[in-house]
Amino acid sequence: MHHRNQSWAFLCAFIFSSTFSLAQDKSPVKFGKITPADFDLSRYSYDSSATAVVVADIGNSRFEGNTKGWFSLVFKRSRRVKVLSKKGFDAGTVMIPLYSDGTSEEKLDNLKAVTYNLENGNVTEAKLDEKSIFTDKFNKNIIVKKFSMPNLKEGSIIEYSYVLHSDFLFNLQPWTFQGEYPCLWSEYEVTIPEFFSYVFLGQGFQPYLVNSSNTSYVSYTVRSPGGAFSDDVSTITGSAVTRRWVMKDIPAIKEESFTTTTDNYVSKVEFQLSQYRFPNYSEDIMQNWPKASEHLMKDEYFGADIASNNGWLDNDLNNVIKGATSKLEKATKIYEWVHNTFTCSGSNSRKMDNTLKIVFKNKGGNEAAINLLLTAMLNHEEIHADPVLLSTRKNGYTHEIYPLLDRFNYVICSVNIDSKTYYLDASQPKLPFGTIGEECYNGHARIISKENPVPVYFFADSLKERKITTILIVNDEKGGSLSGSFTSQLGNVESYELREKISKKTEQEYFKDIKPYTSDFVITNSGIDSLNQLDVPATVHYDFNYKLPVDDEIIYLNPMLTEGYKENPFKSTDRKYPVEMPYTMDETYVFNMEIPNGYAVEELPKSARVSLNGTEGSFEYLIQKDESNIQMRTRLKLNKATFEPGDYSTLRDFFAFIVQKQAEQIVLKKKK
Amino acid sequence: MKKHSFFFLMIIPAFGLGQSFSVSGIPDTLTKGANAVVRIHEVIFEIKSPGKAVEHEHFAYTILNEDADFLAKYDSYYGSFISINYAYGTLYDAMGKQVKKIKLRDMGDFSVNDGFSLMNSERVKRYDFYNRIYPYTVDYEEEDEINGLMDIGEWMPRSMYNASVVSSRFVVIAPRDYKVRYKPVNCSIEPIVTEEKDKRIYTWEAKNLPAQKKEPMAPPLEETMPYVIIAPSDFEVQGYKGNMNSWENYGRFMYQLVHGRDLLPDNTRKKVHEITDTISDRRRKVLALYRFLQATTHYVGIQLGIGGWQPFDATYVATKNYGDCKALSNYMIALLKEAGINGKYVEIRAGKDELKMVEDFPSFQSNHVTCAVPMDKDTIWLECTDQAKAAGYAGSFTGNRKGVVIDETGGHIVKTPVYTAKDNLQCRHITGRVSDDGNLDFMVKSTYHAEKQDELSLSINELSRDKVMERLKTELNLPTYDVTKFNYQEEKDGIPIIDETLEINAPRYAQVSGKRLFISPNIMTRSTQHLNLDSGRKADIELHDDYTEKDTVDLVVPSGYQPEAIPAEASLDTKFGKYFASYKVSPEKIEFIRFREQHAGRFSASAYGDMSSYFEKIYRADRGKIVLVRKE
Repeated sequence: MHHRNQSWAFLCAFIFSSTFSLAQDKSPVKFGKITPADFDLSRYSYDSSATAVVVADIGNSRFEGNTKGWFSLVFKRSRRVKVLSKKGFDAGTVMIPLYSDGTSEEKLDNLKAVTYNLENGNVTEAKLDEKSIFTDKFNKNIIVKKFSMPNLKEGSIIEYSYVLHSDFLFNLQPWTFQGEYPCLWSEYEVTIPEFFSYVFLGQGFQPYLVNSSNTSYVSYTVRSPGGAFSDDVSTITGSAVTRRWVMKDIPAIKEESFTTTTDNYVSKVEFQLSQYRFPNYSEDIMQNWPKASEHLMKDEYFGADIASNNGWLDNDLNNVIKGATSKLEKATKIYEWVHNTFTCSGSNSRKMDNTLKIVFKNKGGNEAAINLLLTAMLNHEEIHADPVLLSTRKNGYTHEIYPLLDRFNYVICSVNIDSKTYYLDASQPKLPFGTIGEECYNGHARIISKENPVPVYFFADSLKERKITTILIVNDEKGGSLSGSFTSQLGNVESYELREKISKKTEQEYFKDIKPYTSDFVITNSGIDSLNQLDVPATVHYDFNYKLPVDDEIIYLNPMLTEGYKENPFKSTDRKYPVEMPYTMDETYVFNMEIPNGYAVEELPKSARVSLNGTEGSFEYLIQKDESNIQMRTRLKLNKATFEPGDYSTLRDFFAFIVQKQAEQIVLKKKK
Repeated sequence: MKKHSFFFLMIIPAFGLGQSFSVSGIPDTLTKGANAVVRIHEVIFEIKSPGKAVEHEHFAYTILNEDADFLAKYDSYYGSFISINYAYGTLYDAMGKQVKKIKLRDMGDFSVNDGFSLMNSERVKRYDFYNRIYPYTVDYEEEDEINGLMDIGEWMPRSMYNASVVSSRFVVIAPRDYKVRYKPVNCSIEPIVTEEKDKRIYTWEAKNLPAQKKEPMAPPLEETMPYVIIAPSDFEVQGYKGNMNSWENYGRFMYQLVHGRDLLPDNTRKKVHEITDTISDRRRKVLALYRFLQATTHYVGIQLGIGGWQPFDATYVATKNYGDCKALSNYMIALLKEAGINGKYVEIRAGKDELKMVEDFPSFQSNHVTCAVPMDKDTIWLECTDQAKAAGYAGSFTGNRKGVVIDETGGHIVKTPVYTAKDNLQCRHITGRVSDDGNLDFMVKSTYHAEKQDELSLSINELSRDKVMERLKTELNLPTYDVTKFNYQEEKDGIPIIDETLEINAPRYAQVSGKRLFISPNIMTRSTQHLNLDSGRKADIELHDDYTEKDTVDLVVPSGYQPEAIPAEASLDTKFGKYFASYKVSPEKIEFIRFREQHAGRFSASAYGDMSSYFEKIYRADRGKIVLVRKE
């Protein structure tokens, strides 16, 4: 018997883990048999504030020979949930998605669902009736079976089980151990015959109670329809590996701010079909990046046409690049033309929604379509460009070793000019040449090319957001008021966001909404520089007039005016997952004020300087005065965008200090 | 000739009439202040019989900028009563040149997720050209077959802000002997009525209406813009016949759908008697049964076909213990009936700040069903979809509006309870201590009455304690803080009250600048209302909420300080409301008192400046700071 290395590894793991005592690794639940004692969960420990608790969730996937000459997947699941309070009634609404490719669809069988209640010491049953199961065609690939458990009460136990038959071998059901409710026992068993190999992907912070594997001999009967004759029946035997994972006492997943997606942290296992391995026939389905890349470059909805001659582009491109001499100039012109002419339909996808020619004809498509067209146009002009496949931050991390294409949802373009690499995204109207959006800064991404599909990395830590704000205030000639000017040069991300915002409102409205100014603070001459010149940061500026409360003996003035942090961005005191901010920052604020006529400085805030974990960040607040002026400067630097949960409280304290410091006031006293 | 023009109207789409969608044809008066121009909006609604109609809708919008892109999206609902015969969409560029044309099969097809139903039978066709080269024009045309005529529609030529209208038409074609009912609202526009053989044609039309600017706090369009509501007289839905000429008739139809669906299984009937037989007081019987309903059932929305109007029967709810608003209200009435009490099925337009119903025009206007129990002197309102609501309390969900009672006598209008500024009371008392490094430790005891507790009640009744804590720890308006303890107590006899106690630590709450300490004594109740000054205000101003807020704050301050600056007392008594804030500062402590009484109401545009200044004064007073100086 020939084994792959991986199978050996499983076997070893099994031998090792079989020394485990078996007593504690069996599910504590017998489905379909509920006794009054089962309603008492007091012997278990789980979050006492939970609204429902999953007592057991047990799944099993295996293969069987089908009547179409091939194999099917059989997934069985049984789940018991105890509803603790009315707030947990949502646990009684169940939705089971089924995949359909238009001709064949997954089948749901043997659905049984029962609600158990304890009434006067007796267990009562309410069964779900067939009529209360609804089928909703969600879209062309997904059908959802839904039902709501009958007779649901506080304290009810609900149990349901079903079998899902699937002809889609790529859809070996994943298993999520951790969910909305705490779970006492979650178990998944998968038996895979040697003819199929899958890559197993596990993630999460929760430990396994059992993680075992076991090899057995199996035999499958496969029937092929024989047309007018009898079916062709064959029996295939071989070894199969059964893997079993168990987790116990799993806490519910928690949403936190500054998290790209909890999908990155939830405990789960997933599978990717990688190979058919029959004695006389084998085929790599998914193996390595060079192969995946080669495949993508043949796909007409991805790379098939991006390196071709594409003569149909000749005329348009000639016009577009007219007058450009250098490669960089040409690339810029092509980028701008695609950027301005094509409209993005914005459905994140790793593939084009049409073929290249149709995208060109429609003057629009999804992000992938626009950026692949851009790639094709650059190549047409002999400027070397490749597509880059990535996953946006909200979509979760991608895998560096395995080409798990399902995890990618976005395509940008990489172009090499004079040994410098530029990353382009022509799908977002307000992005300049050479810049990609913050959503793309999600770690590993992959250049797709026939020759060299190498990884590239976009880390939020490398995205620097630099902002400089300057305020200058002088006395008005006639006295009683101050005149000032405000200038703020925004960072790239903020400039982008501002441009997006202004495109949806007028500039005038933007200034109206900017801050709730009071009537003693009047803004004039407001404007935004470089609003349409995307390659330089936008600058917001205005003049203002501040009417002094001249009757007051003492005037208090916060030199931050409308700027600065009014509230700590890190609200919660505790943290489970890493803090993932979109970028690192460097914010400088400069304040220069002529001391108001008739007043003298009574007191200034104290200068201060603090640092965050040594070199990870710093904040300084420097203030001084001379005869006639007050000068102040603050600078906040965060050199990292991602912080581990252990660093959270330090980060929170750091911002608490900033918030307080930036709220401090200058005290001015009337001269005698 | 006449016959000709009729067919002409029906078959040939607008661009066939020689209309060009070139943008240059739009007069300046219609592009001013507009994000979009409605080039044409035409509905031709032909009633074939009381149960059948064909609706032809055609509209073309010129989108001038990104703000109006949403209008270019197509959404067409269909399902049990509506099937789509055909639909087209065409995209034109600024010159009026056709760029793209699509058909029904090019549109996406989705099930409708209304956000609260487990299942409904409605589906939607969706399309978006995703064009971003401005200006552009989208032109959509659709014909629907309608089976079941509950509704005809509304002709509201200016149904959006910042959009002008070149032409808007609504045509109803009906058999000569069929009565088409309509009512002009905010206007007195009458249709042009013509006759063609055995048909009568009603046409409403408007042309060249300039765009109207959207202004903050304006009343809803339905209360200011001219429009016409159009409804059937005789109608038929899935074999059920009805007539809407009066609320009585409307009610009779609805009663057909409800009637006889109140049979309870024996064990439930037994349960009703167990609960009520020992109680003599009728009111207490009602409350006990409502508590039973709340304890044993919950909301699951299932809207399939006629089930959009007809409740699942009482036995269904009794065995499944769930249902939608109709089914649960019907079940509640069945429980009451078993106890010899008459409960009423009431259709209503529910939701905070929902549009008022048009009382004198019987038509299908509700989105919800609730239950009312008439008593000798008053009425007990029972919201059957809410497991936590106080019996008799309608709140902002169904309060202060009209509903339609459906019973054996037909339908009639009833009024739901009104909650005044006195009822919607929030009282807050804070005791705390400020240390010389600016740290603030405090305890806050708040009581929220009536509508002031509506949102909080949902949150504490629907979220786990853990989630409530998470919210408290992240959603309070303080610079940096931590909630160390919290407690809620609900009183549900009569108008509901929630008592809340929080213990909070707010490090660096007060600012230390050298020898000075700056403290804002109004820690928790700060108004964020703000109206930007605007000289050209056109629309009336509408304030939605009636409420009273009372605050007292006692803060112990570190010793060795003396007050340097204390904000002036604020006292406002305006037609918009009353406000008062005052401070008492001694070397040991700060006392702060705040009072605000706010009334809902409609004010003319000329009051805008005064209102803006009223809000600003409150905004400032709420943020007043006391300055203490360390004694040398």
